Amino acid sequence: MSLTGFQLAMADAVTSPTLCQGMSDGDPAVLDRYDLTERERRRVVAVAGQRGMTVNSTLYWANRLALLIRTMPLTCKALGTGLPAAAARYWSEAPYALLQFHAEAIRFAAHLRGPLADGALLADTIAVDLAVLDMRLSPDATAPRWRVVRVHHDPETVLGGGSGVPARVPAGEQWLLVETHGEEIAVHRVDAATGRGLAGAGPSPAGIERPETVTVLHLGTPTR
Amino acid sequence: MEPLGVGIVHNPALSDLLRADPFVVDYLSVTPEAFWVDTEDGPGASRFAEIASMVGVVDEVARHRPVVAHGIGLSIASAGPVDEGLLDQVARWHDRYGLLWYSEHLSYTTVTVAKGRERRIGLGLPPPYDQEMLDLICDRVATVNDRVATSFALENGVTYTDMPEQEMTEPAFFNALAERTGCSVLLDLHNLHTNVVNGMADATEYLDELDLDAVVEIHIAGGHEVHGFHVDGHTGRCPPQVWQLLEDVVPRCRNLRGVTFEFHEGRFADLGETGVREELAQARAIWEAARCR
Repeated sequence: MSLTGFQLAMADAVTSPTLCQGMSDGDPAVLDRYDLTERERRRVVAVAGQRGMTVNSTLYWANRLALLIRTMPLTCKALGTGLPAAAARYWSEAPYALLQFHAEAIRFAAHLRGPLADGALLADTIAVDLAVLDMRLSPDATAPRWRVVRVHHDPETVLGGGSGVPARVPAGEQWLLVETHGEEIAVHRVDAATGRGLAGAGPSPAGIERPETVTVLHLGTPTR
Repeated sequence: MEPLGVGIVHNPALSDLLRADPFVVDYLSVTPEAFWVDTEDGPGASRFAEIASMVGVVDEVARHRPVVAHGIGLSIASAGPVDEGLLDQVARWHDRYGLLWYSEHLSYTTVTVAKGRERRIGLGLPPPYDQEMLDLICDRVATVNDRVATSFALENGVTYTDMPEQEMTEPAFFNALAERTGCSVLLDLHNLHTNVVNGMADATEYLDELDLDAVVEIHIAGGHEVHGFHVDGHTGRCPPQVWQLLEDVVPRCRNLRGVTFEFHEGRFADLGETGVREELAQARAIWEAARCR
């Protein structure tokens, strides 16, 4: 059915500036990729060359970027001015978005972690973001509203509070207890034994001392 | 069917307000896909993992106010297969909340990249208004009607490009769709305004041609500028032209059940609860004035 080819061509025009330009130029090498009737071919060429395609593309990338920022806020903040380039590299590998923000965040996280060295600071930040996201999207209202995350760097730096300061790699294991209270995410430093116990599906942290609250994050519920 | 009044499309920024005062609206519009994680795996209900903290808000409001659904995942204008699993999930929500109607966008957000492989664009693209597309969408509307036992409406969209050689106008397309399937229209006045500003439509011609008896719901919203175009960003207060369109069209829509305000959650900091209430109040004033005529 040529309609599928036409729709794919229009989608590619939105997601790929290179393909869009090729379509606008009437490049047979580009247009012949798609099963198009003659009318559809004329339409693709005409539409791809319109200024409004820039708006479509901008909205497409803005939507995808907003989703990443909403679901991985600490990671995106840690990337700083490198975020646009990191997002562009990710999108070059994954030109089509996943509708579900949870899956998109996990895929983005996997992409970022790929080239990271073991124990990299960004890996710690990613781990906290994924723990928070997993907790907030829990389908079970009775499920624990906490997660425990092991990090390799000073927690304040991992959570963005120590920006501009070289990340310390403290001696010993670093464990964070992340728990929700309404729209707040409280992050507490816990000792290694407690962290390992909680990670091993031990008792709930209900009675556990929280001697140090590293930070309280205010994050809206992620949405599409 | 009983007219309702003025509603709002839920977003997380509204949760506290709606919990504290569900009567701030006459009905609540929900985007069902925002309330679950679609694992895209597993049969039936197991495919959709509902987000308990968010669904709780709908449960609370639904005790006091009717609920309608405004979906974003159906991609009704796609040439690929209909997502029947999604429709079944919407049907489960209808069973739970008694959705007064279910609406979707007249656009496609999913494309077929290879046999059996569908991909999401993440952006709704308008279909060409041709007989082939009309026939396709009529079949898909029939599938919706078979699986979701409540009224169905389709929303007019925004286009930033001009599709050549179309066989009919958008209003004529909607009229034919309504006549063949009984599908209603969700008339988004900010989308129409956006198309007018961008030189893609004439509001008077559009509204004169559209069968306004098919309009069951009206959306209003605000927008912003991107690359010299006005875009439907749901970015806060409605512009004066949208209010003018609303005043003009509400008295002419004899089967209208509600006017719904929508805004992006990221704009709540600017809008505030006061701003939301003011937009709802203005919509309600126009609604009441039309009903008094």
